Amino acid sequence: MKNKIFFTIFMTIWIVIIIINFIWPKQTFSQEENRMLSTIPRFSLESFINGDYLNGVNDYINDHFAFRNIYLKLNSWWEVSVMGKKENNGVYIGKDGYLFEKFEYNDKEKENANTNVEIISNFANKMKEQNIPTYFVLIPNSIYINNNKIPNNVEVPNQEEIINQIYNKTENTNNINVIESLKEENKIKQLYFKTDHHINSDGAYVVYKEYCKARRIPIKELNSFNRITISNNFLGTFDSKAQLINQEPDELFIYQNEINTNIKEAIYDKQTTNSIFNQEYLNSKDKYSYFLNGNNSRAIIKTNVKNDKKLLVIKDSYAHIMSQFLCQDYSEVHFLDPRYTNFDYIKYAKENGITDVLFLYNVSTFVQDANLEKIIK
Amino acid sequence: MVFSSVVFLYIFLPIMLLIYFIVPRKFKNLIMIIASFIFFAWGEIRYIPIMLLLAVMDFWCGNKINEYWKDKKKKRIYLWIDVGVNLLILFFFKYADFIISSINGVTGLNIPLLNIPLPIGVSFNTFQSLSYIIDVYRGTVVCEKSFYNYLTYTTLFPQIIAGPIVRYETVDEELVDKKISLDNFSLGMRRFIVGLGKKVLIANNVGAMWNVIETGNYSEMTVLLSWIGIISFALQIYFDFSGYSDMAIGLAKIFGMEFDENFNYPYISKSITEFWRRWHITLSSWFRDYIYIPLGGNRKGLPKQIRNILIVWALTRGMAWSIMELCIMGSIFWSNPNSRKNIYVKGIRKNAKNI
Amino acid sequence: MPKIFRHIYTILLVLISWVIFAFEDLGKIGTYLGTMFNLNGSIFANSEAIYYFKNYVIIIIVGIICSIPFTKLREKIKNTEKNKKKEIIFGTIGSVACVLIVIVCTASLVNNSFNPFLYFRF
Repeated sequence: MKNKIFFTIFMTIWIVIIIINFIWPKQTFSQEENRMLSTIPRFSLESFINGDYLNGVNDYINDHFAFRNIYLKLNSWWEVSVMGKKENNGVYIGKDGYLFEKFEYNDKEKENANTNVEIISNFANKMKEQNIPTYFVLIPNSIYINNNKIPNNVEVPNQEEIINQIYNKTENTNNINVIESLKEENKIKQLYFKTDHHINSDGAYVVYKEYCKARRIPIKELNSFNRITISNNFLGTFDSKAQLINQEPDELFIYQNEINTNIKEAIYDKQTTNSIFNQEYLNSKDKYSYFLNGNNSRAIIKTNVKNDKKLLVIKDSYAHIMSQFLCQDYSEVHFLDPRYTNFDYIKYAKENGITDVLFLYNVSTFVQDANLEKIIK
Repeated sequence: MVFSSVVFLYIFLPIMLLIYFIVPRKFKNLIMIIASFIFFAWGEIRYIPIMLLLAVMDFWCGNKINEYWKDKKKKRIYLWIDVGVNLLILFFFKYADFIISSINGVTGLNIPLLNIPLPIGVSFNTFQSLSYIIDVYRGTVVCEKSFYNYLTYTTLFPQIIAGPIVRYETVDEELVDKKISLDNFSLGMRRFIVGLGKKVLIANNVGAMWNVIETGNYSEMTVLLSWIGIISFALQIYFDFSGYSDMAIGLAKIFGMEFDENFNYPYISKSITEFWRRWHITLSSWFRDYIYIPLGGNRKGLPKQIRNILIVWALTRGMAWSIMELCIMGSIFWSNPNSRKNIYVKGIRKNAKNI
Repeated sequence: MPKIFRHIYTILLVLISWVIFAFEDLGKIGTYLGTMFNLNGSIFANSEAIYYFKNYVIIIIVGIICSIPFTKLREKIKNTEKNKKKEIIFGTIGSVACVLIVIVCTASLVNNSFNPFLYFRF
């Protein structure tokens, strides 16, 4: 009897899962995880024998399993709620709904950082020869600034020390120190997203203020802007990995004024608009791409500011949210992303009449990035 | 392929079961063989020629021993041929590169290293081969006259990778007459699921902890962490192996075959001897029956021969294994000081059932 | 020696054997055992150790419990199952539990969690 009951219950569920998987349409992109899903690898005798082909097939099957998202949430529930883990898929589960991607600083990262330092020094030197000042800002990550929200007993490398070491080694640049002001302001306001690895607009403003101080630009007070909530349902990159059930979403807001709303022209890789914001992304999970149209190799923002100052920003994605402030004082801002470009930036600066250069990175990306070497040919 | 994967659970197994239960009885072994080859090709295709070689050698030598049953010398030759092939294979994978690099060092040549890691399942397959040929030699079992059946036995995919060592006598009848029923399906599937849970939910989990220590990504080893680490390792290795055995035993039952138990809650043991009677039972009984008891034989000269095998064996198995195996043997010896007097061929069949 | 001491003694021997088996390098084995028995001056615990402890204590306890056969409990269940009604109830509970195990395992596999194949050593 017992065996008949088991047979019925088990076979029903098993067959249902198999059939659903069979008829389930295959997608190419996972919104929930914000990444491309694997495709069937190409067959070659070599890749078959050394195991790569089958690993690829395995990944493909896992990636296209029906209701994958539900399984990811279930796995997260099992790991975090049942097993009591304080991390999942490389993301720490912090207090008050804060998530943090793990940050390590070992030999590999040190080496990377040193390489990048050399490249920046070299670049800045060449810029100096043309009387163009280079500014350098390294922004610490949430895991360091929101240190009181990380799970107990987790020790994080001291990003302040790392930033200072990097600044000390970089030559020919004007280094902008944002740590103190971020730490101070963080006591009053939330400067980082809980579910995403970026700073929010409040954090962006703090960084902008320090840039203005260093650049001797008059600082625009925050109350001269309009704070506008764009979305109350932002779940970012940390959430895509951690997959917690009942994760509190972030508020996505901007500081709007005449200048950053009335843009003359915004030239992106695949389209030209008149805004640094793109509403369409608000309908997908990747809402951060609202800023500066997501990932482009190049974004040129032409404002209505009447001066002939042109800024070149060599950056990672932290600059995107900064764009609402960086465009305030320049007639043109050129955002270049070394991950996607393949031309010489020195030539570019010359050809485009650049007057200021800014290297803008967050610590975590900076110590892992190996793309900077492409900017000098 | 591994049991704990989506491709096995939701593609390979259901399709295989469907075909298996539909085809008429005499083709079921064929389905098993085909399934085993697919299972094997999915990840360890290099091993298929070896598997086939062993199957052919065992089958041929087994039949030759049967043919020359009255001729002791010839019987022994065929025994040693098969044993030799098995040991040679083990030896080859362990030391091929060592020999090549030594040759390179001495002669200055630059022969490229083969770089072949030991294919999965080689060990268990050779254990099984050896048990078969020794059993045939001793007369414990009648040699298999059908290559079709023998091939099924030697390629049984539930256990070939890591499962319990299945002696020929355990499944000789079932190779011909499978015990398929709804009850066996349910019992087998339940057993399989228990094994799956042990492997995925427990072993993999604590294994991640041990992995941190093994890869050295921690700041300084503290007393607490060292204990958490080794306990995690102990749990991982137990739940992984016993989970795998459960899955193998469960699958066999679904197909209508009965494998021997392999783990009997070893961590409740009150002595090391008891531990070895509960841990990987098929392995320790293999040792008892095919190495230890022969050692206690009264035949002149045979103990020496066995001792020589032991040396070769130790060389083929690597340090960790050898130590473990010596421990098994030691504790068997320690618990039965009189067993050296016990004997030999007739007693074995009985002893094999009473662990 | 009373049962419980023999048991603990055996477990200790087994754990030490596992250290030997796991490392295969006399130096590492010595260091590790030295740390376990507080022979080389390491501290008892630091932040990291406590973090790992908290993360794994539950699964370790579950693992230890699942290593125990509970023979008497199983006998009891077998006996109550002789009653048809109880058999159906227990049967259904057991079946649902099995299905849940498969689903949670699938979740872990789909997530591509850590899934090593230990038999490479052999």
